[in-house]
Amino acid sequence: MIVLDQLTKVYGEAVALDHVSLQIPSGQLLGYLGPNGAGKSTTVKMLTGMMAPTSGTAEIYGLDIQRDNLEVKRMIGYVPESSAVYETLTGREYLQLIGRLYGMEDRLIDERIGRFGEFFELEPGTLNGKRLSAYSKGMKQKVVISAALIHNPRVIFFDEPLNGLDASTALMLKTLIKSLAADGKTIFYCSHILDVVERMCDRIVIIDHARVVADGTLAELQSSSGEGSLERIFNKLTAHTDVEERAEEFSKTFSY
Amino acid sequence: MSWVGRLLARQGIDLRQVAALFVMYLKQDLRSGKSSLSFRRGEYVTSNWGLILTLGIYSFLGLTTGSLVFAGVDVLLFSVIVLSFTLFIVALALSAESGNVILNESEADILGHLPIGSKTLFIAKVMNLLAFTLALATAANLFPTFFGVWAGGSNVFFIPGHILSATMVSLFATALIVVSYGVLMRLVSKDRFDNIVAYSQAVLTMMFMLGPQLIPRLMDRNHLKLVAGFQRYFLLYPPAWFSGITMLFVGRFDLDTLALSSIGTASLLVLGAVALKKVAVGYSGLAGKLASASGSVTTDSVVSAARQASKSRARSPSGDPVIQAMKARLLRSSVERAVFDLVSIYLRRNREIKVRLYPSLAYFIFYPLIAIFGQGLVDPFSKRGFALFPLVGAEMVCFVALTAVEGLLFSEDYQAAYIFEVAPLPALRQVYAGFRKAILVYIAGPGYLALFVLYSIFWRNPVDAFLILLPWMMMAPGVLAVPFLLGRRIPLSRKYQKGQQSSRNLGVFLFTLIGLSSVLGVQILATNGTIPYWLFLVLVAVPASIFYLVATRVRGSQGSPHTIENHAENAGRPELN
Repeated sequence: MIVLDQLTKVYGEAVALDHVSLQIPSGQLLGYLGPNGAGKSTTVKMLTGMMAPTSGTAEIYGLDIQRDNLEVKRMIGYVPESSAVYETLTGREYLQLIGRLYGMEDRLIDERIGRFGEFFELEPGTLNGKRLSAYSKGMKQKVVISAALIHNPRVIFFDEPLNGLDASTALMLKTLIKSLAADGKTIFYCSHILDVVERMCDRIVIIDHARVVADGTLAELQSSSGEGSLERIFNKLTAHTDVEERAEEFSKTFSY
Repeated sequence: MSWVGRLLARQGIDLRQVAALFVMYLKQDLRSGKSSLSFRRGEYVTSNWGLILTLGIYSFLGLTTGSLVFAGVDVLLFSVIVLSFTLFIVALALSAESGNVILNESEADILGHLPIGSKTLFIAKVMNLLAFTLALATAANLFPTFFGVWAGGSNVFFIPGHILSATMVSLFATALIVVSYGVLMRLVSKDRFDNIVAYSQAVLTMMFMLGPQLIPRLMDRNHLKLVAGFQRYFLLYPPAWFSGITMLFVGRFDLDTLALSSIGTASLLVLGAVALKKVAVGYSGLAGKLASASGSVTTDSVVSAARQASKSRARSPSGDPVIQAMKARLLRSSVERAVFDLVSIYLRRNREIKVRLYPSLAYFIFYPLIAIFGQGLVDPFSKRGFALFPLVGAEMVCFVALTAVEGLLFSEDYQAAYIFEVAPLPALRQVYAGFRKAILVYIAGPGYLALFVLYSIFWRNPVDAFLILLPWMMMAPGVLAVPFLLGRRIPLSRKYQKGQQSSRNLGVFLFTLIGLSSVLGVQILATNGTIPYWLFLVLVAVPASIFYLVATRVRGSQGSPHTIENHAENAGRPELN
């Protein structure tokens, strides 16, 4: 269970997140959407303990993200959009590092690495013998996802996890995410790929200019907005209704 | 869990996490940045050639320093000299490397969400820094440790004593840098942190470099004389404090050595306590705050990006008509202008670049300041005394500029350099030209201007000041063309790795010392009247101009199409699918 209560982040005069309150029950797969600069990553960074809020509180399974920072971090996993890794390490070394930082036993780490390697079809030669700097974007993303799940977290934050993944791996991951939610894990899923969110998520929260502008199931959002697809709902709520016309006009400036 | 682990756990330090992080940092430091397709065990130790080269050069410098013992030096003075050298080289390395270790923003996305306590992360990073400085100190003291047995009044116990004191000097320098960072992180607002850190590191570098020169000059006016026995200034001189410990080992138990060793030990304990109690606590939060403020970690940080953009608009040279006119004259091609702007922006705004490079900028003022606090900043044309240091100061501007060229090859944003591969550049000549000109305008130019003002004030003769600086100003464009003859020099295109900056600084220093010393020698003769000064200027101007014209014709190839450099040479870039 994740509870946000008036969570706010202010940088000087700019408000990055404006008194956001949400409750996300266990086992829910929440889609968290918003235009660029809306406050999505700010929200995620506060919930993952990487950034302190200016005001308000957030709790994960009853633990305050500020007061019980380390305990919260022990129960969450995070797949950042940047896919940042220590590139000088091999995939195995990186996952071993992460596992040890989570306090896992080496035997368990090795077992989990084997299982993730099989699942993501990362060959032992690649996992053990190539540095992450030699991995393709998709391979690196698989390692990052493995690192987020290796300690069996209760809450998982995904920020554009399908970046760089081929179609079959993306399908595999989407299925995995849904299974994890069905197993009772809470999934916080940020993405710009609306059709994936539309099909996967139990509940959708749309944030714009630091505030929640929509919160509900797809059916509820369709009913309240009068629009069909999530794309149209999103554009309507974030005041981007003329994007097609603008794109057509703009393309004419490139005609010879 | 062992008893050590339990003891540390009570202090909020997870030993297993410290070990995991430390091993990871070591692997990163010892392995080269090259992206190889297979991993061989030997690469653990041997593949970071920059680091290996640095250690080799420091061993050689230690050998030459240690050879002082054969001049019949007293053991205390020998120890002070060797530890001064140790402090000097450790400080140089720390000034180049510490920012990247302590304030590594790119780590925030990897470690920020992990359950690592502040003290644990802090300890791991300090150990990483310390391992590097201890490696350098070991290299530098390899020969002096044994040579010291032959110093006047020494014995075989000099060896363990010196090992301990050299270690403590490294600890002292590391602790001082770490505490200074910690204080800054707490006291200074996020917005001003970048500049304050860069400039404070420059000041600290100056203190480390000048201290061994200034304090003797201020307190005892001994200059370069080798004087045996305790000197009053030792009480204010960190290397001497730790020499006191060596003296205890060789059997010199007197008030002086007890005082020195007590001060040294106490200073280390105080710094260590401050580091652990004040800096370590909350380190993660402070580092995270800085990372989030820079906007380099999150793609959603429109707020910090907007703030930075408004500041950059205020500071951008594109709005200044004088700068615009200068650029139109100086930068004929759009490629040159683009690279010039890129380099100048990173020099002025990028925290990682500033923290790594700005301390090096202090070098050009180093020798003139020694002169000021020593025998005085004498006009070389006046023939009234020792006037080498003003000339060396001018020479060092070239060194500083070359250091900047080498340093700006590296950036945490190295992956963005793909643009130089995909842009239609038939040759890299214009890229190199823009790069060089940015260094001339933003590094060499202000350096010469500062020296001109300094010398004009002290000599009350701006003409002499200009004449002293003129040959070096004429040479600077040609000197800056040298690195581009040695290989591809795309700015901000390589992933930074520990030891790179230090080893390149060393290489540049040796080149400047050896390569440009002949010019320095002839300038001394010219200022003395041995040869006419106008002839000296001609002898510099003609070859410098010819060399510049020839060197800047180097085309440089962009590389084969559709690939981002040869993979074997490319640090850290992903394979293309």
